[in-house]
Amino acid sequence: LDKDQSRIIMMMARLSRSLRALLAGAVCLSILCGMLVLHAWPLWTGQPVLLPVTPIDPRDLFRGEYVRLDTPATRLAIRKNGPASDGTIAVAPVGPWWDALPPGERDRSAALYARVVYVQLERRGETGEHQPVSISDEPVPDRLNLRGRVRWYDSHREQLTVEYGLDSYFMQEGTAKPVEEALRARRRVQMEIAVATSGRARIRRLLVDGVPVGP
Amino acid sequence: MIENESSKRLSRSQASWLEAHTSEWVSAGLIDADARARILRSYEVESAERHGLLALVLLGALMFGIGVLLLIGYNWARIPVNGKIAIIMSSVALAFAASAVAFARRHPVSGETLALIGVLLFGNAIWLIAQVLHMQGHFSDAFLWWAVGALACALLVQSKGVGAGAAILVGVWVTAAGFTVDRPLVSFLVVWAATVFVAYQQRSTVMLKIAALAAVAWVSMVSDRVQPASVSCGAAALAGCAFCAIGLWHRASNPMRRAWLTTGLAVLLLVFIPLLMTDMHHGAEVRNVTWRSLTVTVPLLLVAVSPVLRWLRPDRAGADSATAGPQLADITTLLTAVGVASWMGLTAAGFAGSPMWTRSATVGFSVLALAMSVSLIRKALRTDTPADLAFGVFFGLAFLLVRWASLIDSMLWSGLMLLVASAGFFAIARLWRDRERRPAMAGSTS
Repeated sequence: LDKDQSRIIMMMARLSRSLRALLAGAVCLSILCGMLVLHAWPLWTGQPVLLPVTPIDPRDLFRGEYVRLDTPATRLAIRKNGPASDGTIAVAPVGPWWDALPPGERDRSAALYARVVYVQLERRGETGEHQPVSISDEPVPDRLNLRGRVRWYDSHREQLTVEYGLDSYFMQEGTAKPVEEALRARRRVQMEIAVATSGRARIRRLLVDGVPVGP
Repeated sequence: MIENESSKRLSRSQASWLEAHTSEWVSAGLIDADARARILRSYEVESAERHGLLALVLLGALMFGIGVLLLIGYNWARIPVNGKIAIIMSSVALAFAASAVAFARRHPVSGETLALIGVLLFGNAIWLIAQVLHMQGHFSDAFLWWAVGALACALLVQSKGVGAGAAILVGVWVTAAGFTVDRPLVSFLVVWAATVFVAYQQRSTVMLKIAALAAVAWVSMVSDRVQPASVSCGAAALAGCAFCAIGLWHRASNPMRRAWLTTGLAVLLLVFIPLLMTDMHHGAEVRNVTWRSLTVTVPLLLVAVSPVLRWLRPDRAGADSATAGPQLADITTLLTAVGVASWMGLTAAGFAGSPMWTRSATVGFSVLALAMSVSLIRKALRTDTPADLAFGVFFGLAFLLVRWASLIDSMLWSGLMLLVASAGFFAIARLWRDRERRPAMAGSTS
């Protein structure tokens, strides 16, 4: 009986290690599934928005055929009234947060660095493209809010560089050519994104003269 | 392969050594011929045939793996996104399923290897899925999630190899995150605590050392964006002192004690080199101390001085000789922590910059480096620990090299310095060689 018992205990120990290996796999797969759901959520629930983009570079040195993209919402001049002098899109600060920032150049930069901001977009013109109109530190109700993070603050021009996670688009090997040609010929390149109610956005597709490119 | 069987397997050279020595032991009358035969029978000699077969199997497996990867790669562009995700996820699932089968069939080594492959594929899957779905974010986050998966695997599968890999990933994550905007504050503490827990659970000193080094990277980077370099350097030095203090809370027989102490001393040694330089204090930049730097430095200082509580405790019943009371090296480490904290406080208060300050700080850290060197060599001689001797010599060398560099213009002074140093090293070598001949010293060792 003792022999049988010890055999059962040994079998249980072996089985439990085996089960634990399966559990480890389940943990890893859960993380991957979490990634997928978090990514897909804005695509499932978000509002489609068309943004004009400028492809900066059709290839990334490290990651291969990634198109690096620049949108008008990347650099924003903060103006309460009137346009920016250098052609950058001017946006008005919503709420008291901008005035509440510390006055000194260094302190202001430190306070803005990595700060989450929401840029309100509005549809302009016949192309159906959206443009930034205002900026806030919280989502503005009943408006289309695009969530981003401040990367740089130029105190002399009162200009913010904001990152939205929309600045690169992976292309399959050999498929970046139309974007490269569009870049040279200065054709119209747009990006269709989906913006969730939280303001997080994902790229749906890239369009050259209204025609989707890439995978 | 069963672990206890594999541990009795000897290589050809080991078997030859054992045969020759047991023969000598029989001649010397230490064991009889019967015992020798029993000893030799209890080991299995690895055959060249077995090695050849294993090499063939490994070669076949390697070619199969590369072949499959190349075929998938060739058709990758034609595979739809969902198909790609299915392939990526299945590869991870298959590796862990194979690991489970190996464990169930009593092949723990294969099981652990397959679990490690599963963890590697999991990391690969994070990047591939991000690429396929155009996901963007801080690339350091990928290392974080990879580390979380690896830690969970190490804990569940009880694999020291996966555990060490997970600790490396935590280090890579925190280093990569140091160059991004959002430097992890709370998340690092949670992940680091989990890493240390798994290291203790597996009693893995390698994992603990890597985790401790990751913590040093974190403390020196977390306040870097808004603080001068003195805060990063000081925080790293305080972390080294804190690791030594944590080591002192362990029993002498606990291998984790040595892991903490070794890592702490290694960190202190590295940080002392810039602290010994005059330029470091001359160019010290004064800025206000931010809450981020305080949240790092104050707890580190408290941990670094915590052994005082242990030494002041009246009841030390059951404590072994190595942990019973403070040794000079332990007190020097504690004084180093206080010295570094004072230096950081005075720098922040605006004392830095004057020639008097530069001279005082340089002399102060030089004295501390010498004190560390002498006290560690003394401890090594008393407790017969070569690691302490090595660290003592290295601290002496660090002091010597930095000071010698400042005297290099003067042949007289640099020559005299090297002569004194050589005498010191000869004396240390003699003391170390003669340590067993001194009964009073030998009696005080553990």
